[in-house]
Amino acid sequence: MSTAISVQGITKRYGNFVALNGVDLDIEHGEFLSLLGPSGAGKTTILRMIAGFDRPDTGRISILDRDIVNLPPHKRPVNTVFQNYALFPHMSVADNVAYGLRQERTSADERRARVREALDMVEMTTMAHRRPDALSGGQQQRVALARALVKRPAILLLDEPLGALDRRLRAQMQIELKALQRETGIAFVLVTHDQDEALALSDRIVVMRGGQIEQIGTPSELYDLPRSAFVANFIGSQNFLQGDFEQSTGRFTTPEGIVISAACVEPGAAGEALAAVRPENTAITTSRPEGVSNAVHGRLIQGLHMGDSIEYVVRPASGGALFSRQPRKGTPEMTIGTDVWLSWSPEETSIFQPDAEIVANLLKSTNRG
Amino acid sequence: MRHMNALSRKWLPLLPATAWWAFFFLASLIGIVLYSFALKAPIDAENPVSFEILSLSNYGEALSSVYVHVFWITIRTAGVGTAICLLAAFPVAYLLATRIRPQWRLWLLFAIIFPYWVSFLLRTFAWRIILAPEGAFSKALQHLGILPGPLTLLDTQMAVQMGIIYNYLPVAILPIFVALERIDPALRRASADVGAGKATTFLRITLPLAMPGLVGAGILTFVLAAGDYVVPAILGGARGLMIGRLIALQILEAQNLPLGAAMAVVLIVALLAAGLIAALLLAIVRRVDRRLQGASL
Ligand SMILES: Nc1ncnc2c1ncn2[C@@H]1O[C@H](COP(=O)(O)OP(=O)(O)OP(=O)(O)O)[C@@H](O)[C@H]1O
Ligand SMILES: [Mg+2]
Repeated sequence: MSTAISVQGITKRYGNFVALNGVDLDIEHGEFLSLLGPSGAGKTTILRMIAGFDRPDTGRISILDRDIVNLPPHKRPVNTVFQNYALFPHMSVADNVAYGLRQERTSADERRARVREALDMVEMTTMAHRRPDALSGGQQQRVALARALVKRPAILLLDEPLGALDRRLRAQMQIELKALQRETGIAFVLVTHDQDEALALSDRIVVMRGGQIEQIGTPSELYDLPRSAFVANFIGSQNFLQGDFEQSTGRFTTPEGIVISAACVEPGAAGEALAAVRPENTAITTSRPEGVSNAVHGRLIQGLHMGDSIEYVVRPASGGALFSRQPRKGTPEMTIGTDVWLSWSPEETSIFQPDAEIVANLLKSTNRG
Repeated sequence: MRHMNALSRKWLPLLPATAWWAFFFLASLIGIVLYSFALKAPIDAENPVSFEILSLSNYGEALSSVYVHVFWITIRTAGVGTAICLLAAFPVAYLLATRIRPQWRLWLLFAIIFPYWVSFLLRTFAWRIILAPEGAFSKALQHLGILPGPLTLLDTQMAVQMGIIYNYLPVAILPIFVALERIDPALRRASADVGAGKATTFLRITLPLAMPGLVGAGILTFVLAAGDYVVPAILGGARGLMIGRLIALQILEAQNLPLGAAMAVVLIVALLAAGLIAALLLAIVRRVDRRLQGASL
């Protein structure tokens, strides 16, 4: 695959506030890329830079090695699906879609053919003559997609396009988005708050935080090999234990003296550190399991039914809560209130440098317990 | 029966406004039309208007060539005034609605409306001072070499035109501002996003969406300007005439209510005709544009 748009060293300040801080990102032709991160991370700001609605203070944005930072939005081969669709209310669906083509030197015949093709693609041909205000949210969404795709951009930017839809419609539109992206071969850059959406749709995910990129990778890379405690926590769920990591021996010890072995260690982790394991990678037993190095003893305080699985909540003597997710079938019922062992293998364990936010949350839950 | 109930419940809230409108507007309009067919009573009569003979003679007089000429000047002055007011108001309203931060908007709007706190009469009179041939403004222009002699605008049709534009500019700004402010800024971004330049975005997105505001501002300015009698009375002198002033003269001074009423009716008809012509022109422009654009599908 080759690079469609390359973003290099982008920085953007609003007054004293740094919204983007040295962002590097290559978007490949035909890939489905998601920008994931907490509110205020700078996701929308990156899209605005790529679309041309805002200019970076420093850095380059280039297409085929040509810097487009000074190109106005209407001259960029990039199109956007806006969060609230921004359909032109005084035009019919067909006119909305045709509007972008009228700005090109397209013949009337070709224009009509392409409008029809775009409307067919999103299954909106039968509503071509309606005004946007006579459409449902999902239908408006499709028109917004058609209006952008009809331009055949190199990249389609989507800023939380499904945010306004209810859950079922959202799930349906996710499938359609992915299908559209495959069909057109256009690179999609999707901003989302929803990690499940990002994991389900993306070829690659960019995790952002505080104006910087934390990690870029495929969904499984991010899930299995998060590079920091932040990413580990943001994607999927995670049990964290606070403790001390001795770099020379590779031993992690909690204040209570529990020793944890780990296969993955974040470079630079030493001294105060976090050990992490995902709830689904833990086992829960009534007696201490043999031959498993990582085990914590505690009281079973809850069993939450999650559909096909049960999430057990275990409170260790030190306080706080650890989670263990077990498939519902084939796991013996556990009695709430009994003493149990939570155990996991070193392969499923990572050691990270401490993250202020996660440590604060851990302390809060320990104090509560 | 239940159907009727639902219907009346739906329309009941409109009753007070309708009654108000019917009483003050419709009743006075009917009164004017009735008066226009009556005659001025003899000096010593009890009632200044005599309904004994109803005729069209007032209309004959109101449509005599002298008055027709004044009607024409009135429509022209109001039309030119409206056009200039709309042209001047649009950029102001646009900047206010799109470039000024919301927290500043109210203050600026307030500043625009501020002259309205002073009586219409006084404000217009102030222009006599500004335009006076021996006034400071005139002297300054002569001093700067812009004018060879004293300013000769006062008591001309041009002074009336200027007074009209000055007085009705805020009236034009408000409706346009409201219409522009309601346009989602994302629409302009979306337009640029799919390839439209600034001019196209303005013509194809901003202008059509602001049209209701523009039409409202146009009607308001045009009707108010055409009926104005204060501005021509104060700034027009003998040479600056508008029909509103002649109607006022007939009613207030010549005591010829029927002739004034007939002139008022002619003015209403003329305004409606002008409005219809404007609407027709707009419709034609739209149709031609659609034809030129071609179908989307
Ligand atoms: N025009 C602006 N002026 C000042 N600050 C701004 C401006 N635009 C964005 N910011 C700030 O920049 C930061 C990043 O904003 P951005 O909209 O990119 O966040 P985001 O990741 O899209 O968040 P969300 O998920 O809530 O949409 C935010 O803290 C925001 O307050
Ligand atoms: Mg955002």
